[in-house]
Amino acid sequence: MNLTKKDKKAFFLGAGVFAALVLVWTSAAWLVPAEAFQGEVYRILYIHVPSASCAFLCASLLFGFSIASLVKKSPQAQFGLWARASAEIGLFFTVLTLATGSLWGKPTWGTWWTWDARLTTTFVLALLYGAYLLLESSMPAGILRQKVCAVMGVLIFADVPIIYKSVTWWRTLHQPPTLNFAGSVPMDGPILRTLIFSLVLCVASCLWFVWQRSANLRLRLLFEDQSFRQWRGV
Amino acid sequence: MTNTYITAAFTLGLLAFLGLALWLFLQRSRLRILIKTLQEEEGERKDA
Repeated sequence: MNLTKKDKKAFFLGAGVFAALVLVWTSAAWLVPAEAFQGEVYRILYIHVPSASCAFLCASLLFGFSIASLVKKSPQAQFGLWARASAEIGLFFTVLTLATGSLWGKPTWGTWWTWDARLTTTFVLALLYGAYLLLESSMPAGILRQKVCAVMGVLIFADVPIIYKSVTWWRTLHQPPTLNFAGSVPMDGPILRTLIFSLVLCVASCLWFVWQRSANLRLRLLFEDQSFRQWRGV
Repeated sequence: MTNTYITAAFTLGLLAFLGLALWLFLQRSRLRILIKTLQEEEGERKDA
């Protein structure tokens, strides 16, 4: 292992967040009371809802970094690295959302997958993240890649309100949003509190993942730059 | 039967988080080693 003090501090911070998340998920799996209508299976919500929120958060970060990279037109811009890291972590959380949703859907709806509006738009989000990463890695670094990826980043963000509103715009199998902006949350105190803890810790993990991945991407760029200069004998 | 789905979901979540964190950690370590080796080689080349 060859890590700096800063790296070690960052990884200890990540380990702390992960330990807290393990505690919350342990309590979610065993201690929190069962739900009146769904029984025990609702517990999957403690992973599924925060994962979906993190997938949306990554799309928002990607949107912000894309706009910033459009404004600041430098090929070595930091925003490009942050945008790529956001897309990678966004894909991770979208796949986790789809997988945990599927694990909830089988005992509840009797099927692993259905082409429901909410499920389909979330699947589209995963495809868009994948397309962004393919595009970013297949184009040579420069202003053109920056512009094309920034436009793609904005397009990805446009899918988020569609996913959120899909359950109200169309007749779907998926229930309405669990956490909404109307102020009325149809949940009991312990269930809501555990969900909020899980949500906060998942968001903290998500931001930590984006931070660490962008730092790794920056190091990779530094390594490639140094090895290229060495190869040229500069 | 329901417990199987709950266990699967929580195991998947924990393993995914742990796996991603571990991958980031190992990648960081590998990159630091690569950069250090490159700098050492460059130093040796300049000395020679």
